Amino acid sequence: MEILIIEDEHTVAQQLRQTLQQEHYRSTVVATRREAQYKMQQQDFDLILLDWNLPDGDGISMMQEWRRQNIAIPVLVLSANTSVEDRVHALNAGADDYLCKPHSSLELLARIRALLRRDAPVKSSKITLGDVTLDIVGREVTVGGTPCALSTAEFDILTLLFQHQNIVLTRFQLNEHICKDFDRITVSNLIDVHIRNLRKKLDRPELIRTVRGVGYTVKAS
Amino acid sequence: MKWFRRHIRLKLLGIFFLTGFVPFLVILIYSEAYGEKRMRESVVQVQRAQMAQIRSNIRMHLSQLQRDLGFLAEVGVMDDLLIGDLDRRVDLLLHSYIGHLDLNVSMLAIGNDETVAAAPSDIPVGSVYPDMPLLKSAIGGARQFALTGNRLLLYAPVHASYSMERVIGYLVMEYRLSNLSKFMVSDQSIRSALVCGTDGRQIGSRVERIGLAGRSGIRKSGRELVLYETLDDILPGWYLVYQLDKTDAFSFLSQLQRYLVMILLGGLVVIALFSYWISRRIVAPLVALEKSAGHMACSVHDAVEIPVYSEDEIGRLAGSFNFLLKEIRGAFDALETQNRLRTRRLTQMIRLFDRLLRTRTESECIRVAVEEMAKVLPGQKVDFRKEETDTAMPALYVHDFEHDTLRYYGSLVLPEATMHSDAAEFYRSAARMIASRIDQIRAFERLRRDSEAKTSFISYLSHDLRTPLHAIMTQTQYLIGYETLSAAQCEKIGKIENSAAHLLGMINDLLDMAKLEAGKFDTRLETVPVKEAGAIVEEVIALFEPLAQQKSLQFECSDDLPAESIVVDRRLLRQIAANLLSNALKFTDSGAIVCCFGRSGGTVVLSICDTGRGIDPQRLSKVFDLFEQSAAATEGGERGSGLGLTLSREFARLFGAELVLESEGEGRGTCARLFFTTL
Repeated sequence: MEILIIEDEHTVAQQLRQTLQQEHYRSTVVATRREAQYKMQQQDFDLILLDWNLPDGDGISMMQEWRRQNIAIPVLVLSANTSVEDRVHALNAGADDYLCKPHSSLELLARIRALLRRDAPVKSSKITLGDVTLDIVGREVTVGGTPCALSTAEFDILTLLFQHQNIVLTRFQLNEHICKDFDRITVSNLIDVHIRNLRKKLDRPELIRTVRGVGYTVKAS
Repeated sequence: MKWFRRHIRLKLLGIFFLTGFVPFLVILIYSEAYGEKRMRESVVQVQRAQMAQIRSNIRMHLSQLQRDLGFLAEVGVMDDLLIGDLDRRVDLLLHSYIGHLDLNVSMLAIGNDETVAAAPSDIPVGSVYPDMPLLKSAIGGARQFALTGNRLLLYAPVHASYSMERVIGYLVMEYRLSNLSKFMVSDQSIRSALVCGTDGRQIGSRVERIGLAGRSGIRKSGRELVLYETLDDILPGWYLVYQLDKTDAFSFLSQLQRYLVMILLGGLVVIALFSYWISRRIVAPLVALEKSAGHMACSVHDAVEIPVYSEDEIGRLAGSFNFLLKEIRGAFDALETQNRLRTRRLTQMIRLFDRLLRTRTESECIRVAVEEMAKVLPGQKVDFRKEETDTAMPALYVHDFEHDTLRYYGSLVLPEATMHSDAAEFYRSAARMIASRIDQIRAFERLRRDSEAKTSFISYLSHDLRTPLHAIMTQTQYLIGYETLSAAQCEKIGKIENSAAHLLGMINDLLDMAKLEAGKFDTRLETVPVKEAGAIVEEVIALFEPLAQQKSLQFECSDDLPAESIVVDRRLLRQIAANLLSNALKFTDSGAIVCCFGRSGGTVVLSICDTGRGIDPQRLSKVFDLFEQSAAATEGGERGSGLGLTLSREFARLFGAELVLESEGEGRGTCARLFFTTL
């Protein structure tokens, strides 16, 4: 899968490239519209990550041009513009998705997967870790075969942890995941409380590990 | 009465009437009511005296006859009666006596044998006197006479000359009562008569036949007044009747009354003439004055001058009024001229103001001002000069916003003469107005620049601050997620991410605040039933519930939701509920957080009340100030941007709601109330 990253901030672009590489995507980084046009003529891409503001013009008008040329490559707009109006403008101009900066890398990957119609790293809709089984489709959790009732937020947190085993998920990432309907929730210990409740309900204290000062992770056995 | 009070003419007439007419009227009424009675009493009194006089005369007359008869009886010749040898001498004597009397009488001598001894009349001598019984009765009764029919029998005993005690006969005079008619009065107004009480025979003038009874009396009969008195002491059964013609008797009274009526009529004429004179001389000028004053009140030009008839007070008053009218007319004319001028100036000023308001640049403003001034002063040179002028031309001073002072901008150059006229103030006002418009244009320009700067600032915040933050966070997430790090390294990077996340929160808040202030915040207003708004709040509560459980706090929600619909922006309502609930959770250590929808003052209100630390009343007024954080918040180490409540209130206002915070003091909990607009 080839992804074109159009981002003028070098650090950000490189970090995106590295992250995508970790997830086994091939990516090309360009910093200007001109370079982007050139690359587009040179190579076919499966997805474009497009920054709104570029040194030689705005990315949205370039995308509109592509759409007029019937170039239907999925475009995920990344922008620091947060307003609903901007979001609507980008989507109306032909963007397939829109993500505000800064964002959780997990969120970005999830969106990319959705746009590329790719499955999550874990193929099955059921993920089992030890005697804990999580059914993403059925939204059920069983511990040693016994169903365990979780709240929506707890289930979402557990799902994210199970989907990214062995990766440390920061509180910011977890928070972004469960609060996606909110602009922001600034209660610092909300995730900690949910994790504590999860541990209590699952009765498996070792399942979710705390990474001190950072976040939480689950280890594949 | 009201009508009477309003007219001076009537008052004066009333006074004249009272003073001139009423006394006559009183006299007239008095004379009519009592005059006749008094007059009658007076007349009756006089007539009674007359009647007494007549009675006395009759009595004297009869007494005289009686005495004459006695004298005759004592004459010596009468002795012949004794012997019956009477000769013609007695006859002659009696005849002679009768001849002396101018009366219709008969005389005769009667002897003791009751026969007529001598009689000069037609009674035969020697015959028995027919009225002897009557005579004897009178003699026996010692009465001096006897009355029979129309005759009065007077008698005198004839004594014998040798023996005076011996009565030898009687000398009798038959006195016709008609003789008494000479005592009666008869003229046009007064008539008197002797009337027999039993058969109504009358002697004297003819009088009204009336019923006579008692000793005396008065009868009124038509125009006549009849008085009567008995004559029993002289003529038993007869009355003296006096008849008066009232018209004549009371002629003085009726004449007096006639005079009075004439005086009254004359008085009326005099009063009419006098009132006419008053009308002409006093009332008419006053009425004219009043009318003219009335017209003057409506319109000075409609009021007419009052004619001056005299030089008295009324005349002088009319003269003063005419002078006043002339003065007021003059003043009004002057005022009207001035008013027209001012109206024209006002119109010119409004037109200038209107055109100035449409200008967008300073040069356009000056051009329009010069054009308008040229219209005000047609045919004269009007210009604008930037340089300072020596003359007193209307100068424009505009506001220097940087130094907060006024600076000279330029002057309108108008003809010299205009600035020395009364209109100078108008041109100076126009200059001030032009300067104000230039101030406005500059202020608008400044505002536009500020707005652009604010938009740039928002754009800067949004892009240029978030982009580096994005770079930091993507790297920290990558390092934490994919790199193999030691625990210490991981912790340090975690701290970097936490700080970045905190910074992001603050930037987001500031951005929202800047957007709100610039009026660039997007809203999506919807009218939703309270039930739906309740579901949004429930969602937030569900998110925070674990935090409450961790702190052993009760979350109490009321299911009793009002039936109305409210105006909300779902996203903003969610954010406000999250801000308020996170605050409640943050500052409540024990007790409960009550969250409910209710009604208050005709609107729907969402109350989020806690039993937490509360807010000091002095701080309560400041909680909505920018960057204001309570001591509890700063002590707790959970430092936010200090914009949470301010943003919440501003968010609420975007959908027409009002956020109010209440607390009875520290340690007594806090209650946040969100008043919605209901539909």
